[in-house]
Amino acid sequence: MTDEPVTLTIDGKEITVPAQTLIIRAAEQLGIEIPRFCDHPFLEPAGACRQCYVEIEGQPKLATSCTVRVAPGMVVRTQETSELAREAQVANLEFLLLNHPLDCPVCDRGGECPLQDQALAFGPGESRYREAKRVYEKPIPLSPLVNLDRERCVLCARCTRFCDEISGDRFIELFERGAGERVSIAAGEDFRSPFSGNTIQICPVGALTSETYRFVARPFDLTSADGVCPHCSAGCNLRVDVRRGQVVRHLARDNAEVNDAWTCDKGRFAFRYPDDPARITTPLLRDRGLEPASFGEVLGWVADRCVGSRVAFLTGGRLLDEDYYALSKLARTVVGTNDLDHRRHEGGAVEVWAASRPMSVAYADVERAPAVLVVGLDAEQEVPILHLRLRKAARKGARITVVHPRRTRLHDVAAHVLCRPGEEASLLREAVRGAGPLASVVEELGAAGGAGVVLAGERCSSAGAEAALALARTAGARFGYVVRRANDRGALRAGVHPRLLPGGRAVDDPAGRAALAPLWGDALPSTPGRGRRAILEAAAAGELDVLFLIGIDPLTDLPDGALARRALENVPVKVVQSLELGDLEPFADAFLPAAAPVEKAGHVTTWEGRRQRVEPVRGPVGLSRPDWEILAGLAAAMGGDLGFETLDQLDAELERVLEAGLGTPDAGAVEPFVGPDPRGGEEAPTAADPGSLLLFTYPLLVDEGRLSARADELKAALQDPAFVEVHPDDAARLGLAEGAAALVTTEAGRAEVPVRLNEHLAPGTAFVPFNNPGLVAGTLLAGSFWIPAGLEPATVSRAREASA
Amino acid sequence: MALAFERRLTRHWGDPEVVGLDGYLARGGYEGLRRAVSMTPEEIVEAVKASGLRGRGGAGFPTGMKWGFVPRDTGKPTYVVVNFDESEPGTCNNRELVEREPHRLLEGTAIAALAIGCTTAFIYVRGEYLWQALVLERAIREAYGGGFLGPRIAGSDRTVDIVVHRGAGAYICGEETALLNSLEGLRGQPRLRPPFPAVEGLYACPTVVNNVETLMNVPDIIVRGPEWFRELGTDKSPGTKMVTISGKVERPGNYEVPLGTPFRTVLEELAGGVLGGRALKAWTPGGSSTPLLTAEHVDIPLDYESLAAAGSMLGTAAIMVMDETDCIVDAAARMVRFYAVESCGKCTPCREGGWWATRVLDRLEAGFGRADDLPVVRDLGRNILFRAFCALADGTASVITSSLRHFADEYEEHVRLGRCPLGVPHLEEVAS
Amino acid sequence: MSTAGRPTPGFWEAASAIARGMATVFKQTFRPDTTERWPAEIVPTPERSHIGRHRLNRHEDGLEKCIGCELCAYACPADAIWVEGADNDPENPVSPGERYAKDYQINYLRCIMCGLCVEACPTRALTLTSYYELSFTSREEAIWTKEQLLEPPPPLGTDPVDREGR
Repeated sequence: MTDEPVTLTIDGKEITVPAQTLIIRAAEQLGIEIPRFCDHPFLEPAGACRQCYVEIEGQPKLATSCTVRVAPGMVVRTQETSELAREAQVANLEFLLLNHPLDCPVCDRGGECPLQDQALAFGPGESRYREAKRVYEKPIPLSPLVNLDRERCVLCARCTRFCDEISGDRFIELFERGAGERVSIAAGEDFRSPFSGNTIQICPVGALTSETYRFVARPFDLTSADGVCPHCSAGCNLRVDVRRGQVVRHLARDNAEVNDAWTCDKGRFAFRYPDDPARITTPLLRDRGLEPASFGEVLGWVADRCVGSRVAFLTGGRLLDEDYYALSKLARTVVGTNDLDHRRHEGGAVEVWAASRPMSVAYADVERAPAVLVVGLDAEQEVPILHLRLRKAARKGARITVVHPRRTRLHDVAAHVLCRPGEEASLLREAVRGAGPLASVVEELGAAGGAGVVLAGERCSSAGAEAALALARTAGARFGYVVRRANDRGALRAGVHPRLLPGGRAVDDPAGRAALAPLWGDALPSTPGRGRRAILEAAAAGELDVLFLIGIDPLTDLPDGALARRALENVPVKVVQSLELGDLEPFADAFLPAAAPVEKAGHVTTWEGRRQRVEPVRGPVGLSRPDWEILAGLAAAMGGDLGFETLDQLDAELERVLEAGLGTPDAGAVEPFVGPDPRGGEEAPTAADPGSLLLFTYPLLVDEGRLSARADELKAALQDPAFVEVHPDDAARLGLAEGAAALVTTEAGRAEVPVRLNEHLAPGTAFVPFNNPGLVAGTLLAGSFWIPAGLEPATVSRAREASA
Repeated sequence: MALAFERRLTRHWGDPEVVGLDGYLARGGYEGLRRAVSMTPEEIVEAVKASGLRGRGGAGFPTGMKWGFVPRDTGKPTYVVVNFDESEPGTCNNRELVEREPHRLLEGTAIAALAIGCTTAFIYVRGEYLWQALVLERAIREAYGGGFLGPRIAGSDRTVDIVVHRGAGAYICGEETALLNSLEGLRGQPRLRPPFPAVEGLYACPTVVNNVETLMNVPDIIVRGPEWFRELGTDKSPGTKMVTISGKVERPGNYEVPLGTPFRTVLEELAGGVLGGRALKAWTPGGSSTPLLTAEHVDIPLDYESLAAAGSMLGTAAIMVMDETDCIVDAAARMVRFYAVESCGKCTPCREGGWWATRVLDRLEAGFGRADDLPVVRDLGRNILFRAFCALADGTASVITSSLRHFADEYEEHVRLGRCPLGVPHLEEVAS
Repeated sequence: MSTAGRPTPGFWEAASAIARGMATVFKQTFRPDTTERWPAEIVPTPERSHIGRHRLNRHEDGLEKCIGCELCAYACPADAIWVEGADNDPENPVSPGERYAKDYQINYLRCIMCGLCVEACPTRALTLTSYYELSFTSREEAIWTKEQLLEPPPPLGTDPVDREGR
């Protein structure tokens, strides 16, 4: 089999396509649309619906163009030039419609249904079928998110093939045979896949429909815009649909470079947060008991308190590139401080690396890699589309190794090395020396000849990330640093970091400051600023005058809950810029209403470093404004000038700073530059007390996060109440039983949560989800995402208390 | 009897001893295997190629050529899979062949395994064939005991294991790729081709799938040579064929005949003519999925080419005979119902077309036909034939088109009278 | 001397023209009156005329025929119709089947009485009545709600104050 391009003729037009191309794809390139149902460009060919008949010269039977690959000199005639193909397609549509209920008026797919469209375009006007139609009970909820209507189903098997080939979550399958064949799920099972929503979108009829969109709108009601998912750094391209000002649906947009045609259920179903009643859309001022005020008043008030004061900025990971750039510039050029941070996890030298290099690993590189090492990342829960790419790579034969404290959902396609959190660095260093369980992985990566990929999640600590980078260099593999939140990478690139200017230049590097001087002036602060924890400590110690919180709630988002509370209590001025106040209401002195992601234009940077444009689907609600505008307004109120008044000007400047060669530090500059983090950056403490376990936590995909507000169906489908996961051996030693409550005690707090036994957990550790209902894990933490914890059965502790 | 020839597959029939290993050995059994172990795989394939043996499962593909397609340098194991999912209505010769002489199948299978370098062969037994599976399993135990299976077969250094796998009762699993799916524990639905089983079959490894009767011919070819095999049958269809004749005949049953024997000979000399001396109306040459033929085709020789020329197929050579009292619409309705029920559901024309045809034909036979039903039935046949994923649907279509081709009058008569002109009680009436 | 233009008519010619004209006036003056004296006198509209307000119909068992499909809204060239669908409670359905109209509004400031909505309706839920007395004093009043549209129109000539549903 050669890979030479193949030339063939379709409907009299010649075309040259790569070998192995399907006829239906080749025809698409000529603009010839062959009707189809089971065919999907990202699924394997099935040939089930038989709608795409074409005539191939020299072949006695009609062929299905979705299963036959091109051959040199092939002469294909589609329905446009072959009467035989056209008649066969009409006949097939008649077959498909025999048992179709034709309930388009009540069907959610009505108006955007491939079957409806093709019946109209290619089908017979009337059916000759006079017998009774097949009847099923309907609709059947497969999960709280997905409804199944078997009468409408054309049995194309797209949904079951998706679950088999793409997500690997084989919850649904075709049952029975002949005319009784139907999509089914095992009795008592839920379609509990975080990718279930994709089956709805690829269903070519209304057989699978979404509970959140049930009877909500018709295509002609909707205004749509091209967005990018705000939930994680995967950067899924979305279509955001709005009916009468309310966001009613997210759909995945096809982008083979990023998300193929998929998105996860969180991206699809957690869309109601911009319309949450808790949202505040007017500026507020504490002066009058946190009452509405004008933007001018609030900005003036804040500016008065910022000029000449000790100001620090904390933000999260979900603003746009433009917002981060405005913040970075405001802090350095107007306020004159390096005290700003967006991070939850520190990556040490790897941050310089990620801030200065775009796209060292792209999705396509993951897909092509013969060997992949994933460290400190639960891809399915943290960056789900990367998880799908890893699975796709595995289907193509990649050998995947995951180093993580807990077995991940890649378990059926990857080898797992379970390690205690914080132990990653030593494992990786050992592997570089050719020893330990990962030694063979280094060899595989080396054998891949530059095509191997090492992915380090942000949770593997700065030491772990640096060790992963060193390993990638040793093996000659590509290295990717996988941050979690939607625009963490953009914030790094823009220099929302106490030590880094845009593009990864160090603040204490005169050359870096000089390079920025034409745009930023030459009076930039040159001493490294305080990071997230240092800012909170300074605030708690009364060393700050103003704490500016942009899109972050330090009480729940950070592992320093108690410290954050002390910080808020000890800073004179707290300014909150966000969608709502939430827990911060008692503390905020001024509130600046920010526009929601669906209301802003700008760019988002994926974990790869790919900058993607987002378009607003509606204007900012009420008086809310895009963050960069508010920050530019503050600069003006402080007598400064950020140098841009429109988004276009800002984009042009940002483009210059990032792309047009302020230069990036050379590879040699990537040395560990942050000393060992006393809390989380180095090796985790080994528990001295045999009764204690190393408790670690990270947010699961669907939790109580702010952007999942009102996504009730999603939570019903995929969220569990809080739990603590323990290895069965540890559980036996500590007297803990599956399902029974355990009392978890750390130096920061205590909580009672039910136990789950997990034999695929690193022994000696315990896992709690970061923010599932019933437990805010931050209350158990003291500055790091892991902490020694004592676990005992709750009954024992209660008995002890009762006797005491 | 005009049909005098040396019987091959059936030469030991009626001899109860041959079921067991000792009886089989006493009558020259496993001689083929003994010789095969001393031959190279290429020599075995060449011998089968030279014999001109064609697959007896229906399609008639040359067996030697099929074996020759198996690549030997893939580094993967290869498999022989025996298709004993004999499910075609009217066909039951494999069953009797296995019941009477199971070791001949094991011997043929082992030779095939040697020919393609396979160490594990599977016999996929139709779900309903419980007894035959037991017979096979006992024979396999005996063969292992006698050193004809397992490591070092027949004193050589070659290993061949045979595993019996019982299906779950689906006609579609007689289709070779659906059979492989079923064998792997998946849904019995046909696979996309290419890749063909010879390249990527069972567990994505090179696989040969052969019919029971095909493999049972192999030991004799090895022992007596290809030339001997070609002494019977025609040039393009050499050898003998098991014919199952059923329906309205005096002596229904399985008969071995040289390929090319005229149907009249089988009907009149072997089966004793049409039951009660009535007139022949219609017959299927190769099971219900092959197009119907009529009394005017009675002199057709039973071989692959002659039947194809007459617009039908040799198929499994399962002849079902209908006489003048049988209603064609009733027969078509019953046969189409079988294919609709047995459709795997994967593709549209078979699943929906079969459903529709069953309903319309039932209605016609029950006397509720309308004039505009006949064009629908005609279109159904045309729109199903050669349009489906696998050949199952072609069975549905063949019944419809061939019955309409030869007996359109009878359909019209049903519509005109509003009842079955022959007074045949319909299936549903029988049930009620 | 010849003058340009027409010759000056003679007296009789002129008088006769005036008389003919006046005859028409008098004839029309005494012809029977055909203008309807609405609202003093209400003339019934022809039996099958569909010239007025919409009505949402019910099935005989009282269930609403409207299934909330929005096809009327799609067909409407004036964007006068607002429909919101919702899931029927199987125990206590509003309409047969899965879907019903949770909200249904027609804006008569926009409606051009073209009847395309009626043609589009797959269940014959929406029909036009003969009730043409559509007058309102505010925008809100011009938007008819589902409850109002479900009611049969009052007899023509009903005083606006007495109109049902107003």
